[in-house]
Amino acid sequence: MKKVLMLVCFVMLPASILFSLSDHASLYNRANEQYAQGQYREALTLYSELLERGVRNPSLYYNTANTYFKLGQVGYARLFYERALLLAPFDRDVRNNLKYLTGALEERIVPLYSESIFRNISGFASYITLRMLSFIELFFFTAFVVTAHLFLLVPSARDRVKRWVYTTALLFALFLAGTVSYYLHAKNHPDGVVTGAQIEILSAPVPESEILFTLYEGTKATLKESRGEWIRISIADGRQGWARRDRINFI
Amino acid sequence: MISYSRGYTVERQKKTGKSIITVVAAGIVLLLSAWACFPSERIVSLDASVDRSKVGIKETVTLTVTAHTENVKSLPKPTLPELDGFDVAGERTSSSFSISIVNGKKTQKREQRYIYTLKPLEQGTFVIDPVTIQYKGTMYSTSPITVTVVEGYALDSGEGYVLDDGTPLDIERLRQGIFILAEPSEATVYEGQQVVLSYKLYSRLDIDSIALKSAPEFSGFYKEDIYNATKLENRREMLNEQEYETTLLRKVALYPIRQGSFTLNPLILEATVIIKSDDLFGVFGRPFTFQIRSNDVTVVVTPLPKMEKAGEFSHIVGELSVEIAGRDRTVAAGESTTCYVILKSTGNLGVINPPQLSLSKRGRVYLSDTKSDRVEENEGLYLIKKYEYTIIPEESGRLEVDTEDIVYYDLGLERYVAADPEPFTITVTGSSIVEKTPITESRRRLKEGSFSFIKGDTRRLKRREVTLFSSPYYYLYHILLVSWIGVFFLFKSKQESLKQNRVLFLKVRATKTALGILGRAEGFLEKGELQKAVHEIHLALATYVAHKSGRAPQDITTRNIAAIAEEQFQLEGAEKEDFVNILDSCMMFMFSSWRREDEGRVRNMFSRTRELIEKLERR
Repeated sequence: MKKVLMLVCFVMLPASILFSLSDHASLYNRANEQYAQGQYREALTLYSELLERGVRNPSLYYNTANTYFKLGQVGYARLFYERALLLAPFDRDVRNNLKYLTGALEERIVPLYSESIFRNISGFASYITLRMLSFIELFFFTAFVVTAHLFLLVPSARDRVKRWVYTTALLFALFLAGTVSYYLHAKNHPDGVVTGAQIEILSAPVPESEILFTLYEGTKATLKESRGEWIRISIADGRQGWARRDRINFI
Repeated sequence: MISYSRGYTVERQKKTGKSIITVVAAGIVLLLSAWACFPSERIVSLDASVDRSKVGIKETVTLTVTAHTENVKSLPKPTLPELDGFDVAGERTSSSFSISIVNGKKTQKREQRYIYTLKPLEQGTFVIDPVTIQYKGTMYSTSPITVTVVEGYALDSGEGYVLDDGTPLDIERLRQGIFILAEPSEATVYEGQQVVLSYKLYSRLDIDSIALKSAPEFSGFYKEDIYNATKLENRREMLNEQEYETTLLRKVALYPIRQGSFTLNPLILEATVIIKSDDLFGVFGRPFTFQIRSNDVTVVVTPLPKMEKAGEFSHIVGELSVEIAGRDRTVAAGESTTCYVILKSTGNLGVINPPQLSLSKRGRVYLSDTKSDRVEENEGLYLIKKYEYTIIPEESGRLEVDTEDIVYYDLGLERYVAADPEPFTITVTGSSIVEKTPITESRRRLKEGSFSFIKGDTRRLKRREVTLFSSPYYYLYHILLVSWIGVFFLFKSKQESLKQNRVLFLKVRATKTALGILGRAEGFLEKGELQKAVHEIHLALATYVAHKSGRAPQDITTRNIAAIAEEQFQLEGAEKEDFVNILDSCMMFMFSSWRREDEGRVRNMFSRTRELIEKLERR
């Protein structure tokens, strides 16, 4: 009986995973065919089915974003480009299309700090993702384990190895703290995109309050505070206000 | 017992009699209360009245039906008779309510008023038949009312007006002394052309007060108020060779919105003038109140000539000037600046849409504010509109801000003209923030932009997580490696601790071990086996040095033993010389042939070795 269970675990489970992966791939390829034929609505239906199945893949996000763009829904297009960028920050296709898309939005938000130095820092920071930080942290962790082994196994080389053990341990601790704080910040203050035509940003979380400004489709906003169905958001130029939660989709 | 019993009976009978009286009294009170609680309901009176018995056909008359009721909770609506010559333009109700209690009787009194606004349909004398209400089987009705409808407005004719002293008053003569003159700037205008209409009060009488009775309505016109008087000005003006005191009452600019002939409603004032007489008591004058109205004004609105060229007409008729201005002449790409489009016209700017700005280079334009103003010039009213635009240039270089042509009808030139202002030029510095052409995917050489390119087909669509925190392998990897390195560290620590303990043990036991070996050497000496004895002496020295220095005996060689001993025991002078001599002697005896006298020398060497070890141990 144990052998049968082991067989199920070691043979059937990987096989089922492989099967599901290939099933996703066939759906994805069908969606690509529809896209190539210009049937964007049908392609979007298939891409959406994959997304509903919980498939998180940069190529899928990218193609979905392109489909939304072709259908004229720039808000959702930006949302999926941003999601793709989180998984593949160095993807040139995603970056190019996102850059083009943000240039074609209804309103251009001029960042609060728009000097070249801040633009460069911001551009550099856009390459640093949580995933990348996690990998760097894993690298330094592995390096720490290897150097610690060397330290223990070769007593004669301890003097030389010791500094590497300390260095890798310090870097590992730094990146672990950085990754955790980045994760918590991203969890508590996620970025979102306006997917409706436009939303009015109010001065207080009550419908009767003063309208401060209007945000248009595709504008990126950061969650600052959440209160019931209302959220306080800020945009790149520093303006803040309250909006209904359901008007913004979070990346 | 008996007397007690009789007494009790009499007492009970007395009590029974009192109880009956109490019950009867209570019953009466209850009946009275019930009567008070259910009072009689009735309509006390029903009256009808009108606010005026003589009314102009352009005016309205108010018919008020008043019902006084007692304890009536719900009164049915009155039934109006057939109204010949009138139309009911509106109706409303009002009521007042009071409660009075007299001798414990509560009465609810209500005055219910039904107010009807009647609009005359034709001239003549009409009788409004009785208004009726049927309530609980009884029909209540009002008296008939007579109303006379005259042409225009029913101003007081003055007939029957008598001053306090009995002098009859000629009101028409009074109206020659005080009147309102309404003057339009143009009697015939184009649709959309401005007409300035002024109402001026002319008076040669002593005015005590005036009050507005009826303001004109300008249906068919877009109205822009220029002036409304708040007090009498008393300027002196000549009219028909007579001097008057004048006050400009009202001035409006009208813009016809449809064609046709329009007669404007008059302005009606109620004026109180002081009438003086020559008698002794008339020196101070007596006040007299009557109504005065402006003359009728008719404006004929004609259609505009047909446009020769097809284009979007702004519906502005008259003069128009358009100017484009800006806040900055130089601005960096991506930073905002403000531009203004200022329109000034005698036409109706209320009908115009904000003009669209066009930029010669890439940039963004938002309409951020609109301000309206007006100014009186050349006896006309100029409306001013200032549109404020926020512009964010995105491309460096010379940026020209222009507006679309605004087509209007110029009355001076009598033709349609397109207002084309001078563009406003801004120098945009810095680098462009948006590329001129759409980004293309050069790697794949697509011509129509990268949006046509999608990520290709795949055999397996792998999942990828934004963070590794959600993956169990991330935690497993950390736990396994940390556990492994921990266990390994503990193992190595233990191992090294044990090794260190053994070295320490051997160090402590070094003398004893060396002396034990020397004991074996002594035994060989007794047996005469000198070779073995020398070997044991050498071994004793080497073991002692090895254990004391914490090294393994096999690490001690004939080459390094002297240096290790010197370092370990800090050998100097005679001790060092002795140690080296013993070692050299051992080497010499081990590798040379033996003679009889050598036994004494070996014994001597044995003694010296023991002494040296004991000496070193004592240090």
